[in-house]
Amino acid sequence: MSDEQTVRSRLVKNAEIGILLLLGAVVTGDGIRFVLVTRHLRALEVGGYEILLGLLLIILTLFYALKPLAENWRISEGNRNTAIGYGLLVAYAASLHGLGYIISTLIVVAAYMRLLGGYRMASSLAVAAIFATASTWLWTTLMISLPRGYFSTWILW
Amino acid sequence: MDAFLAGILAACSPQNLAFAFMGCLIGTIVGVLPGIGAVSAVAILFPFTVYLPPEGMIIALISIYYGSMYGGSTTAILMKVPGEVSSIVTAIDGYEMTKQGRAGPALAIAAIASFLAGIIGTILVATLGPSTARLALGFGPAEYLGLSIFSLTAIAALSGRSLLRGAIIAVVGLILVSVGYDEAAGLARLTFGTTALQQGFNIVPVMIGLFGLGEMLRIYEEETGHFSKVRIDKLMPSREECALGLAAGARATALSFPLGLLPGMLPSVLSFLAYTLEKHFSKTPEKFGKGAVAGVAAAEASNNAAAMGNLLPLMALGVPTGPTMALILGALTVYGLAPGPMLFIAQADFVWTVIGSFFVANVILLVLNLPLVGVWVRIAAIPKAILTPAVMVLCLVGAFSVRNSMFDLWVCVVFGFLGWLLTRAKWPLAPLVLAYVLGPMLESSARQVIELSPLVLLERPLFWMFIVLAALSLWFSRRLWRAIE
Repeated sequence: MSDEQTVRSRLVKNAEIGILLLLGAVVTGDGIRFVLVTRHLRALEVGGYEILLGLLLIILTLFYALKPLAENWRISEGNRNTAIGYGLLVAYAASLHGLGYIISTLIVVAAYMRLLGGYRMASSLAVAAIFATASTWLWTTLMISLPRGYFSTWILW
Repeated sequence: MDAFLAGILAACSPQNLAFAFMGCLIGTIVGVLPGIGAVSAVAILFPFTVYLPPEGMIIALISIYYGSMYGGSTTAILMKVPGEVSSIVTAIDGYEMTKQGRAGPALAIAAIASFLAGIIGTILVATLGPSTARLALGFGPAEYLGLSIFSLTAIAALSGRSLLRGAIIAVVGLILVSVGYDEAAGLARLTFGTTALQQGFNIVPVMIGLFGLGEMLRIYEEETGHFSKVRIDKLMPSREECALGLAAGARATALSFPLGLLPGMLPSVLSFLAYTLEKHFSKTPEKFGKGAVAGVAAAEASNNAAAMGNLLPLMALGVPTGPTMALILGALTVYGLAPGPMLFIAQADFVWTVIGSFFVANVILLVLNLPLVGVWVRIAAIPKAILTPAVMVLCLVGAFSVRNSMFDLWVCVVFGFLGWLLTRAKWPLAPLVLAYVLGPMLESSARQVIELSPLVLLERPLFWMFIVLAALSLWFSRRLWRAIE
């Protein structure tokens, strides 16, 4: 491994250890809250299980922290396309409730094709429109309910 | 045997045959898409099968599973684009055969070896299933506790080269499944006062996120397989190739079915092992990696035999051995069917129809796959800028449709990111999923044992047998990874 890769891998490993220790602490803390604060007949067994899991995670993570970085261990490089892909996915999930299935799907599929495939806007929109309409027909035929959005009264489906 | 034949007849009813055919067809189509493996295919398509009757849903899911495995092998052989890890081994010799102009025989040997392993596996499941279920009828909380510990230890040890990472990710899975309302005690855990978290994370959006969206995000990082036009002049292998392939397939089946019964022994692990052993004991090891028919047959037969082996503990004990089986378990619980020993007694017709459908699905795939090779190749060449948004839409609609909940949709999106992140940092996903499925069983059996008295464990030899098996799996996993390396 080059020096740069070693530094990067070390950083990633430290971040992993931090997140896992935090998770372990939160779970243990929630378990302790049950045992000490909640006056419930079964608080001990519910909280005890959580404390057990939290402590187990902390102990295993400490062992993991002690292990040296493996010689051949190296995380793969991410790229710009992954960030765009995930960004569009989040935008799609956020827009489904308000815009509804058809409009969101039309916009997002067209955006994917344009931004990640380099297709022309017109052809991207055409394919996206066919996909959105055909899939809506398929889901409604299968009686799968879809988010309808604020404009559902204007769209006949 | 009569019950098995009756099961095959029931699976051949027009309705069940249609479900099996559609499952095989859709599974193969999804399986040939670059980057989508069997687990992802089942995870993505699972929500759409819940609208079918119980038998139809399981038949469709099993057929999708088989179909996607076949599909992954086709692209591995023709384009060196394995749909999943287990097809990587098939690609080693399969793609070499394609380059030598022997794509047809490579595909035919892969299909025949898979078919025979599948049929032998089905017969073994039918033979061993009822007796395993009868044995499991005597299981109490102590035995289920031991079985859960054994399953989790084995999957943590076998799913990756680092046991510690496997164990950590399994504990994370146990923590994630404990989020929400605890029905036994009526208390909400790890919800931080929010009502949304009280329902916990449903397994379907979690799996779709981890395996469907996670894989889609990973596709962007990979080069698309370069596909040069393949001419398939001759499909059938020569007599000598057939003999070599069938012998290798038989050896791989004999190895992989019994090992596939154990948790963590996924088709991906066993296909590597079968290939390595076949090469080790071959009279011509120098041919491996340069287009050896035996290499293709061993990998494919092992793949299918292990998949069949994985089904037996699921059906008879209610214990999944890998992520795909965990999803099928989830599918059964949608209908209130709890896999395990009682299923063989209370729902015997259902069980035998499902086992019969394994047989039927294998036959359908053999008939379907080879003549349609040209179609699969064209589907595999779909540009990823069109493929990925379509699959992402499918994933989100699937996650939403389970409970018509926007919360599930966001769970899917978050777990998609987590799945991609974990894969990038080379954390194994299988222990997380197995822990997610086995977590409730582990917790409830541990609670019951403690309520009775922990001393009860001393009187239960089967519990100790599982603990010894857990220790053995740790030892075996180290040797296995060394052998594969």
